[in-house]
Amino acid sequence: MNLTFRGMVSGRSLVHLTIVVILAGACVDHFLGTQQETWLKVSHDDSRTWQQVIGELDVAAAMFDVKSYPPDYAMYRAVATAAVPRIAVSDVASEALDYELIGKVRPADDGSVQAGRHGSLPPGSLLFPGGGDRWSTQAVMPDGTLLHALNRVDSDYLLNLLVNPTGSDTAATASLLVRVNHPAEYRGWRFYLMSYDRATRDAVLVRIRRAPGRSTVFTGILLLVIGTCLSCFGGRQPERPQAGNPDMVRE
Amino acid sequence: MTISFTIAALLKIAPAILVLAAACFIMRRMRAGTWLFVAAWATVLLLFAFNGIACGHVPLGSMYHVMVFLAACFFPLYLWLARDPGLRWLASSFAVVSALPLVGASFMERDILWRRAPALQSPWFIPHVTAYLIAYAFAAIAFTCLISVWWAGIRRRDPAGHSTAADAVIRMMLPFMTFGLCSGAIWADAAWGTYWSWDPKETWSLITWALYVAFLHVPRTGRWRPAGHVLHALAFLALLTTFLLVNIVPRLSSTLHSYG
Repeated sequence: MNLTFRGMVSGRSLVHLTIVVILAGACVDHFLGTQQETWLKVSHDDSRTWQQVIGELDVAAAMFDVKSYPPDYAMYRAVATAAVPRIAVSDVASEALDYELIGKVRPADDGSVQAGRHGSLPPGSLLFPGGGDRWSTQAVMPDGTLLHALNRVDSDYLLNLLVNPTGSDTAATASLLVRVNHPAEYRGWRFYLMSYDRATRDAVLVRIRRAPGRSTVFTGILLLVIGTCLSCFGGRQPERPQAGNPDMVRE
Repeated sequence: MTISFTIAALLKIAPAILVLAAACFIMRRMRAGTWLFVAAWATVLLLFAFNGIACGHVPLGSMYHVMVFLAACFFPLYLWLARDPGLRWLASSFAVVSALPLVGASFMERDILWRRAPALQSPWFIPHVTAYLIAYAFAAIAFTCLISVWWAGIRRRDPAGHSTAADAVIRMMLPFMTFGLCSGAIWADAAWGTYWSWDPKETWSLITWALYVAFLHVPRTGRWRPAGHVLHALAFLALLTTFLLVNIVPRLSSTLHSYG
């Protein structure tokens, strides 16, 4: 093995050192860090349900909103079955027919839809009049194909969190916007949106955390990546017995 | 629809071209093999692009998307490794192995209208997944080298060339796997408020990383050589568990890493 090259050795030493650094940071977090998870009731009016957390903060959920992508639509073609006489099948879909799933289609944000040989619908066709984010449950394409809205997928969760040091007046209240992947920070505490009540949407699960070893762990992680690159890319590759197809190597 | 039909067709064409390319490489028709490999790669890129057009995002959200991207990783990695003339004989392995994810993808449910869930809306999503898939592509090639070592042993030929190639490929792979592991931890800190939660996917990815690191620590000489091969095989089995079994086997299922 040709592992004595300086770059590889220094990279390997760095990797070993960083594992110690990461474990040290994790130990600091484990023994000195604090965290708590709590359900907060979302207020739909000016009345706030304050809740004390960590023993030093009062928190309240002032607003929680779930954003959704526009729905995708399943496409159904009218078909004749044994239960439906062929004579009843026409080019236009009607409730008297049976339907066969032929695919899915995604509408544009303006409510229009392009469905290839099934035709297209102009902007606004799938949106309810009067604006807002209400999409039609069903629509019919020019060739009679039936569109049926599928379940909408969540695109974002927005939580407005009010935080106040316990015992201080409301003038000190901070308003924080918390989203998934975007925790909010307040006086060294980080607030994470973990979950919400999917049935009622009037309660959210929030994690409050202070991790004094976090920067140590992240430094270790950065150095681990650098050390691995140094040890694997920075050194001379082990010598090969012979170039070319090893099958050609004779005993 | 039309795009679904195109995707289904490309998913059949690309592996067929790759098999032809591998056959050319095996028959020592390197120029024809290389051109076919290029054509197959272009087909896979087209497939990747159609997946992106269909869902409106970078298509890395489902196992089907991931398999297509994995197949697209092999040709650039081959070009990178082929700078070393001693590793160009790996061309046939690259062609065969890059066909496998496409064959797998053709049997999977293709959710081409995938939407990116809020938990996946992070700047770490693409680098994390990409780094892991590049690492997996390298690991698959390294494992084919290990099989070649065993095969050379059965045929009573000197396996040193294959063994050295496996080492070189794993050395290339490890920084990507380390970056994938570390970027996952940083992402988890922002998303879940903890950089490590011992989720099955995380645990198995750590086991996989540790086994590959252990493999690189084993001396390549004398009686240690078989131990290195065993560690390599175990590491690849752990990788398959991380990549596939954790998503398939209910007892190993990962709750934090399951995004429809």
